[in-house]
Amino acid sequence: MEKLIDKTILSEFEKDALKEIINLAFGDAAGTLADVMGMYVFLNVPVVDIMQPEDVVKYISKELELDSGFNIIEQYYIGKIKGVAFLVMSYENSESIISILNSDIYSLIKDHPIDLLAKETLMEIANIIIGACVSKIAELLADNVVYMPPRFVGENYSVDTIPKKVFNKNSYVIMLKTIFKFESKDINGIIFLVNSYESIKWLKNSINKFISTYV
Amino acid sequence: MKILIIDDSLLARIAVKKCLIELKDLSIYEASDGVEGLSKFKDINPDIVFLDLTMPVMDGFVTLQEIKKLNEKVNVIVLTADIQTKTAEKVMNLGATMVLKKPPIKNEILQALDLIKEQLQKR
Repeated sequence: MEKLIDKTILSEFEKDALKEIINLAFGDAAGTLADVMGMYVFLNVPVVDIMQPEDVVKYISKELELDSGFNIIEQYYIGKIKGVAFLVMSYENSESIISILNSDIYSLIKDHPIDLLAKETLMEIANIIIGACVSKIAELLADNVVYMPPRFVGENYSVDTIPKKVFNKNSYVIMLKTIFKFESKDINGIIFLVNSYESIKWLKNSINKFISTYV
Repeated sequence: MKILIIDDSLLARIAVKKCLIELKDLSIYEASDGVEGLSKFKDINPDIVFLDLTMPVMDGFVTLQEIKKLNEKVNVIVLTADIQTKTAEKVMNLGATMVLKKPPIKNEILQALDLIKEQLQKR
């Protein structure tokens, strides 16, 4: 029997507040990323959704709609809020960003699909942007998270690879999505934060505490 | 004095309104995106606009440009989470009066309004 998702567990106002939290967090993250890359970063309106774990891959695939292949870097974070962050970039955009950061040695590696240096570069970018974003969200919700090292997972991602201790298959996930775009180079990437539903009560309380301090 | 708050977040709009709660003789209007904001701007011709940048339908950069086409002299206070220096430069070049960082802080908002009132009186 199909499970019924209680999407109303977070009210529209609480979702609105969560979007504003992501907006504040990504505003900080974009500043950090712009400093590292030396390029202006455009911010998009974040999305908040609640879904079943098995729908995560479907959702991400649908959201990507890329003609070419893509690279995914994942990074787990654990605090009162816990989950996994994905940085997704098309092959083309990955190459562009790697070439900017490693311009001197890019000519030596460009004929290889994604070699070690390129993977390291993408993982470093993921580490910076995910770390800045998640840490700010945690700070705004009075939480403290620890991070697992980022991991390059290519495009062969499957929900079965998500550790069951992070996501209970019988539960739900809270999906947060935002897109970043570098102005001058037409490079963009998507960040998905897939949060465990187990902490929903804590999250709801924390959002309401945030609301009471915000207004 | 007429104030228009354009922000897709209801929470953010409430936060700005709360900062203004003690001020008298204010009429506050709200819009949840740039298109609605422009429509209300045409209807009410506000003295001051609080404008978010990251919004659906029409973002704050485009909205600011369109507002300035309608009334070059209107004071637009950009309220944003974006801490990039270039963002501040961009919106100031587009004609914003000032840029304040989100979340809104009551003293900063009130000081901004005082400054604008002073400038309006000098005109």
